[in-house]
Amino acid sequence: MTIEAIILFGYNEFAREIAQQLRYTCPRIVVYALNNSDVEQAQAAGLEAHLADLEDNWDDLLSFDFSVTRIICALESEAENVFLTLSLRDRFPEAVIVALATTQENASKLRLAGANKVIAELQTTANLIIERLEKPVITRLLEALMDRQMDLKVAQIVLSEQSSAVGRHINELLESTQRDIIVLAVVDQRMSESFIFTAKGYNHLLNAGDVLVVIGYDKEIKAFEEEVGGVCETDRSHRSG
Amino acid sequence: MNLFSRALVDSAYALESSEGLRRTRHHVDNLMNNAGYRYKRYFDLFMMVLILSSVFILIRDVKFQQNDFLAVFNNYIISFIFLIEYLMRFWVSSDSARIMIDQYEKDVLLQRNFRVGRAVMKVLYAKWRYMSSLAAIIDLLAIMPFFHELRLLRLFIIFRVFKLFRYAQNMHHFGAILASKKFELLTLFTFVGLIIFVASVMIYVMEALNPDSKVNTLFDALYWSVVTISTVGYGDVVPVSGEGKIVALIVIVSGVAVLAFATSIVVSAFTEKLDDIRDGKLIQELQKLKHIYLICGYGTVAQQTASKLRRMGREVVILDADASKIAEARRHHDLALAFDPASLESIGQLGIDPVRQIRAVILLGDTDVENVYTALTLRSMNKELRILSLLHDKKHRRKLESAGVNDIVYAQELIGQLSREYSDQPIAFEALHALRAEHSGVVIDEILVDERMARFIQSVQDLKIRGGRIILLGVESRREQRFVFNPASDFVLAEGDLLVVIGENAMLHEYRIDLHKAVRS
Repeated sequence: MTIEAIILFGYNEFAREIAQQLRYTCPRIVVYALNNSDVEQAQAAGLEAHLADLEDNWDDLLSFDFSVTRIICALESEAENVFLTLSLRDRFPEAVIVALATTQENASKLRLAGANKVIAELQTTANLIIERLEKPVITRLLEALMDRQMDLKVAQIVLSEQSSAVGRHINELLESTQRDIIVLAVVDQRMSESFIFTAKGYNHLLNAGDVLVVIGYDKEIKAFEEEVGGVCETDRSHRSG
Repeated sequence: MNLFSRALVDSAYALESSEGLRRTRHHVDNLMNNAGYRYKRYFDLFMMVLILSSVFILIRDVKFQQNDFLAVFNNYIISFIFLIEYLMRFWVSSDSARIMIDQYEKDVLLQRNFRVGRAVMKVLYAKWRYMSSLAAIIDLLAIMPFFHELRLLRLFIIFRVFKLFRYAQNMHHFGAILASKKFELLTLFTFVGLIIFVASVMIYVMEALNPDSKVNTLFDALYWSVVTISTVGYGDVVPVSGEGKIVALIVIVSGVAVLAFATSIVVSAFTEKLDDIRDGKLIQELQKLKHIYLICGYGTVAQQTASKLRRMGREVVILDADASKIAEARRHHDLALAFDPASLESIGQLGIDPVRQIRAVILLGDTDVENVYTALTLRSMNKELRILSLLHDKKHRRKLESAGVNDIVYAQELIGQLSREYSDQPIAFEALHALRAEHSGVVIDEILVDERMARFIQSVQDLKIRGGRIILLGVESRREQRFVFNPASDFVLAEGDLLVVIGENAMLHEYRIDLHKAVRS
C-alpha cells in the first residue's frame, strides 16, 4: 500500500512544514484552507489548494480513494480542528485521519472525535527535548532511521499465506535466518493492532497477515523478505532500489 | 623604609602568598559566614546544640546540686569552643595582610614612604569595627562564663541564647525584616514612649494625692501606663478618681491603636519580604543540587518538559524574569525563581557552579531573540555548558548556532516529520515511537562502556547477550566514530562506546547489574 494523496487541512506554520516534508515522498498534496490568503500562499508555494468551509458537505473529497489517502487536520483553532475531524469521520468512516493537537487534553478530544492518530505538539516537543538530552545517540539513530538518511532502514514486511514463516515461532525464525537484520516487533493483525515486541513476545506464533517490523540494511531486508516470502509494504526507496 | 616597616611588609606578602593559609582562611570564612557552604549547616547545628545544652545546665543548676562534669563542660569546654569561634571570626573579619599590602603598594605608586602607622591603624580599625559589632559583642559575652568564679558572670550564659541568631537562618530573616522597617518601628516606639510619658505624668498628677489610689510614686504611674497601653491590664493598680479614669480611657484607646500599628508594620514587612525569603530558601536548596537541568523561560513547553524530567527523577530549576510566570511555575511545584537568565548578575546571585552543577541548559523563551540573548550570556559564563534551545522561526537557526547553542529543537519541523513518517510507514512509525514512549514496557536504552567495563569486556561476545530477550541494536563506536548496526560477536569494544539495547525495562535493569557483577568477578 503506497500513499498516493495527502489532504491537508489548514495552512499555518505546522501545515507548511508538513507539506514541505511530504512533497517529495507523496505524489499529490491537496491543501484545504479556511481563508483566501492561506489558499493563495499555498498556491504560491506550488501546492494544489482550495478554499474550504467547516459547513461543507465534503463532496469534493469523494473523488479520493481513502485506502491510499491520508487526511491531516492541522487547523489553527483547536475547536475547529475537533469539529473538522468529527465531521470528516462522520462522512468518511474508512479514512485515516491524522490530527494535530497542542495539549494532551485536546488530543483526547480529537481521539474521541475519531482521529486515528493524534500528534500532541507540546508533549512531542517536550519528549524530544528530553530525549536529545538524556539519550542523544538513540534520538539521532531513530531520527535517522525514520528519515532514511542512513543505509540502515526500518521496514514493514507482511507475511503472505505462502510465507515460510507462517506457523513458526519468532525465535525459530530468527535462529534459522542468517540475515543481518533485527526483527523489532510483530503486529498480529487478527488479534489486535498493538505490537508484540520480539524482546517481550519471543515465542509468538506467526500467522499469515502478521506484519514484521524489521531494521537492517536494504539488501539484507530484501533478502530476508524473499526468504520468508513476505511483502515489504511501505518502503518505497527499498522497492525502487 | 626602616627595618620594622620592611619586616611588616615582608610578613604581609608572606602571609598573602601562602597557599595553605589562604585555603584555610577561605574554609574558615565559608564555615562562619557562607550560608551556601555545605558544611556550615553542620557547624551551625553543632553550635546550636552547645547553646541549648548550656542553657539547660544553667536552668538545672538552679534547683539541683551541680554535677562536676556538667559544670566543667558548661564553664570550660563550651566557653573554650566559643572562644575558638570568636578568634576565628576575628581572624576572617578582615584581611590584615591585604590591607597592609594595599597601603604599601599605594604608597609605592605615589612614590612616597610607606606610611606604616596609617597601615597599622587601618588594620586595627577594621578589627575594631568587627569587635564593636553587636554580634561580636554577644559572642564575647557568651565566653564570659569561663570566669565562673565571678557568680554574676554566670548570667552571661543567657547571652549564648542570642548567639542563636547567628546560626538560625530564619532568625536572620526576621532581623532583616525588622531592619527593613526601621523608620516605621522608630516612629512607633517614639509614639509609644510619648504616650507612656504623658499618661504616666497625667495619672500621677490625677491620682498621687488621692489616699485611695495605689499610684503613689512616678514609678507606679509608669508601671500602670505600660500595663494599660499594652492592653494587659493586671488590675492591681487602677485609677480611682474620675479624672484618672478619663486618662485610663485615653491610654486604653491609644494602646489598641499602638497594637494595630505595630501589627500592621510587622505584617506588611513580612508580606513584602516573603518572596525574598522564599527565594533565599530556594537558592540555598539550589546550591546543594547536582546535575541540574536549568530551564530558562517558562511556558507550556517548559511545563511539560519540567514535569517529565521531574518524573524521571531529574533536578529541574526554572528561571524566568517574569514573576507572574514563575508564580505559575510554582503552582506546579517546580523549583522556580524570578531571575533573568539573560543577566550575568542574576545568574551570579544563584551562586551555582556551571561545570559541577549544571547538566544542561534548556532555552524555552517566548522568542528567538530572547533565546539568543540568553545563550550568549550563558556561553560567556562557561564555554563547556551544554545548551539546547527551542527554535521559533527557522530563519533564526543560524543565529542560535552562532550564539553557541549545541542543540536546536524546531517543533514545526518535528511535527512535519512525524506526520510524514506516519503517512509513510505507520506500523514502523508506531513501533519506533512505542519504544520511545516507553508505554509498552519495552524500551530502547544506552549503556556506556565505562573504564571499568572496558578492562573486562573486549568484544560483543563478552557482553553475553543471549539473543531474544535483550536486543543489541548496535554500538556507537568511539573508535570508528559511527554507529555499527548489529555488530558481530567478535566486534571489539572500547571505553566510551555506547551500546544501544532494546528490552523490557526490568530485564534491562537486571542486565546492567549482571554486567557490573561480571566486571567485579
